[in-house]
Amino acid sequence: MNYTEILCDWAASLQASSIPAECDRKAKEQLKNILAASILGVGAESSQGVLRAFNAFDRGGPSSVLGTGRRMAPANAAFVNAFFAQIFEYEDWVVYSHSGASVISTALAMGESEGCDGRELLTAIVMGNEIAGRTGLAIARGAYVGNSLPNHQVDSAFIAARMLKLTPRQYEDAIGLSSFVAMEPCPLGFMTDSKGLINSFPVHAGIVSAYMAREGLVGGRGALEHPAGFLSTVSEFLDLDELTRDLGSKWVLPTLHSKPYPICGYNISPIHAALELHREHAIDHRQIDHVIVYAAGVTLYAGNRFQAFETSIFDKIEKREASHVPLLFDVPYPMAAALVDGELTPRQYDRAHIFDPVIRDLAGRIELRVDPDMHEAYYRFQYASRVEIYMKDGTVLSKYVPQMPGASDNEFDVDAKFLSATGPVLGERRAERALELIESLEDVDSVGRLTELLGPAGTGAA
Amino acid sequence: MNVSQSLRDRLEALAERWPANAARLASYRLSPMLDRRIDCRVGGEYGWSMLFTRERLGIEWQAEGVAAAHVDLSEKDWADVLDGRLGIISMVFAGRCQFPKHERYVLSKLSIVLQSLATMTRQA
Repeated sequence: MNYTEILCDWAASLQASSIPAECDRKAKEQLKNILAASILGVGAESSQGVLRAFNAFDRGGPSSVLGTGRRMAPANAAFVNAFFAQIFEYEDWVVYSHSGASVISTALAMGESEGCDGRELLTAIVMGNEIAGRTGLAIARGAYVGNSLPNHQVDSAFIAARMLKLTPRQYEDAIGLSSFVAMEPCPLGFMTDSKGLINSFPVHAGIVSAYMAREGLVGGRGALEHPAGFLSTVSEFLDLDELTRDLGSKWVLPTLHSKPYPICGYNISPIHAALELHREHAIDHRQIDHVIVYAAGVTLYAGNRFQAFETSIFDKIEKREASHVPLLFDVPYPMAAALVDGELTPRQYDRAHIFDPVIRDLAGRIELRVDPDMHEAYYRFQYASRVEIYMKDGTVLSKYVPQMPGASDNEFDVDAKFLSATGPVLGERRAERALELIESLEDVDSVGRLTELLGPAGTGAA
Repeated sequence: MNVSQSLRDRLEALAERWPANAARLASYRLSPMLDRRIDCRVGGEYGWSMLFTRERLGIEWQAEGVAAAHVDLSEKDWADVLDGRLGIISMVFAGRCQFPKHERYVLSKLSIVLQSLATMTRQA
């Protein structure tokens, strides 16, 4: 058997009884976290534009568009929900793959459309993360890092195939169809709202391909590992054994990292350290002279990418040549905003904040450096940082964060994120009910019972 | 081309720092950039070649053989890159450095490793 065949057989036959309780628990964490990110994302100006665009041609369907009360065809609902989840970079990852926005958007849209129960939704989430994590590991030495890993047209096809109850060979057809036009992100898109689409087009392809496989289209065999197949098309280096190593005994979901702040994962620990210092010392930002941030090399790689323009990234945002998106990968701007406001939420990325001269001035006095121990630890999934704040009176305030909050060995309160993000949209009581429903998802007889709670207050279930 | 003494000094400092830090900086995930020659140009003219191995960072001042990747920046941009103030990827986003598809796996990893090496303040 080849790798694709093994994965398809495994995914199609996976039973809930084989899934460790820890995976179910992390699947619920991922569901809560991504719902929070998506429903917060609805408020973005670009998200409203996406909704209007889809309203022009999607006349309705069985799958919910989160936080809106709208329903669309499954592939379209998953497309839009994935955009919402990505537009503030407030999602998650397993091993190296940012899986949640793809897996949850696909599983919810297909689960609702196919009338699946809560147990099957959980199983699909666990399975989808296995596929995303493993394909991500297989291409980890290629050119892409982080959210750029181009593997989600595969995991979404697996999930859709599962929810359509396809045979293992139909799964393979779905994978072959979905992965034919291999989607790789242009780095330039990380300057604009384009980045919100990073999972949207892949999940759309995955879902549509599963429907086509059900109708008998031939997608071929071995599409993942074939020398002219998907993985070798998107990556210069392959570690194919990662696809099936310890499959069914060593699980991916326990490596889930859920984001406590809307920012690139490499930058969470620096932001957390700064906010901890702000809280512990009631820092007056006007008294800060300068800040030095120590972190892994990838923090500089992501956080420094937009600082070489002839005119600044802020000028590009002002001229609408860029959106707020590059600032989600920056360190100086979000750290300055966090030190001024005492928080980092989507609000700090609105235009009033972006053009606040006080924040911009402080951002210009924040410097990044690599710490070799932190750099080495990053490749063992330890996301460490140290922030030193030099005050004008000569005081130096320092904070070391050995691991980011949201890591599997340093979990944060995802329930609180869910309630604060969804309460203002859904209404507090319905947000609490949705949380309770997720906690007992194994016993929920229909995914629709959850999604009917996820529209704005005054719609769906009371 | 005569590479300015200022850039030479920066390069030699990095080469000196590399052996003690190579093991920590060149993880398995970054390893595809090792043992591959990278040709560096200044304002369009050949300047030097770099070859990172696990033991040393070799700097050659004469073009020889076929390079796996190429970086062409102005003198000022090179100074920023070698100081670690900016990464090669920053220059790519600014549109001042080419990023051909077949060289991306080297250039993206080179950007991480070079900036890390330049900004680290403690050595092994």
